[in-house]
Amino acid sequence: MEGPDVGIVQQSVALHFGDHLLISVYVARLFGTASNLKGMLIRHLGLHGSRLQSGVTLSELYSDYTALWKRLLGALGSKVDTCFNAAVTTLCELVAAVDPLPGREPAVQAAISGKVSCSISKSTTSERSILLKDRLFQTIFLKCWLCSTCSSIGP
Amino acid sequence: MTVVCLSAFMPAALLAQKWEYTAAVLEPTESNILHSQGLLTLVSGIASAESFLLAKGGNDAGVMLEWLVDGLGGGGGLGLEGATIAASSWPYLAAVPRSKRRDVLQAPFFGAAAQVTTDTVFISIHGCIRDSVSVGSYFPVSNNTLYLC
Repeated sequence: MEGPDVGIVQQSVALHFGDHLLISVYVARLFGTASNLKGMLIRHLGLHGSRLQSGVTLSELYSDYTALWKRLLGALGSKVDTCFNAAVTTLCELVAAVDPLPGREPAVQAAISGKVSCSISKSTTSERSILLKDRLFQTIFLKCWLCSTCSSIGP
Repeated sequence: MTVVCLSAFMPAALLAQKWEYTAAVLEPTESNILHSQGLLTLVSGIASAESFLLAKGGNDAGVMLEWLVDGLGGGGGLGLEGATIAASSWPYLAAVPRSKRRDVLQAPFFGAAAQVTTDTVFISIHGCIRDSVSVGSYFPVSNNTLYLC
C-alpha cells in the first residue's frame, strides 16, 4: 500500500512545481533527498524532462498528463497522510493559479465530482500552442516596432 | 486527433471523499482531523478560485456550498480552524454579481444548508439514524415550525 503511494507523491509534487526550489523543499521534506527525480519521472510516466521545466496548470494536467491527473486524484483517497497532504497542496496550488485555457472548467469539474459530461480532446494542447505563438509574434512585433522607432529617432 | 475520455478512469474526486470529513466528527483522531481539514481547504480553495463556476448552480455546486456552510459551523471536527478556512472563500463568492448567481447563492439556500448541517451534527453526536421522527422534534427551524424528518 505504501509503495505506490510514495510514488504518487513524488510524481504529483514534482510535476506541478516546476520551480526547482519548491521541488527540492517538498521532496527533501518527504524523502530526505531530491536526487534522481527526473529519471524517475521519465521512467514512470514516459515524460520528457524538458517539458517539466515550467509550471504545469490544471487544464494541462487534465488534458496532457492523464496518468498524473489520475494519480493525483487517487492520492486524495489515500490513507497515507503525507501523500494526502501533497495531493491537497498540489491541487490547491493548481486551482489557485487561474489559467485562461479552454480545458479549465472541465478540469475543475472533474476535480470536484469526477463526472465529466464531455470528452476532452488533445486540441487543447494545439490551442495552447497557438496562444503561445500569438504571444511570441506579439513580442517579435513589439521588438521590431521598437527597433524601427529607435532607428528612426537615431541619426 | 486523439480523444481521451476522462470520465472512465476517475478514481476519486473531492466530493467522493466527503465521508472522511463527516467521519472526523465521530472519531476525531489526529489523522482524521488532518484529512478533514485538507478536504475543507480544497473545497474552500476551489470556491475562491472558481466562484463563478459555483454560482452557476447545479448539484455539485450545491454540495460544495453546503459543505462550506457546514465548515463555517465548525463541522468535520474542526471547530474554529475549520470555520476560518471556510470563511476565506465567502468574499470571493459574494463578489459574483447578483445577476450571475443562480439558485444556490440565494438566501433560501443558506437556511436549508444550515438546517442540513444541524441535522448532520445532531445525528453524528447522538449516533442515531435519520429515520426516527423524534430527531426532527428537537429542531425548530427559523419560522418556528418543527422540522420533521
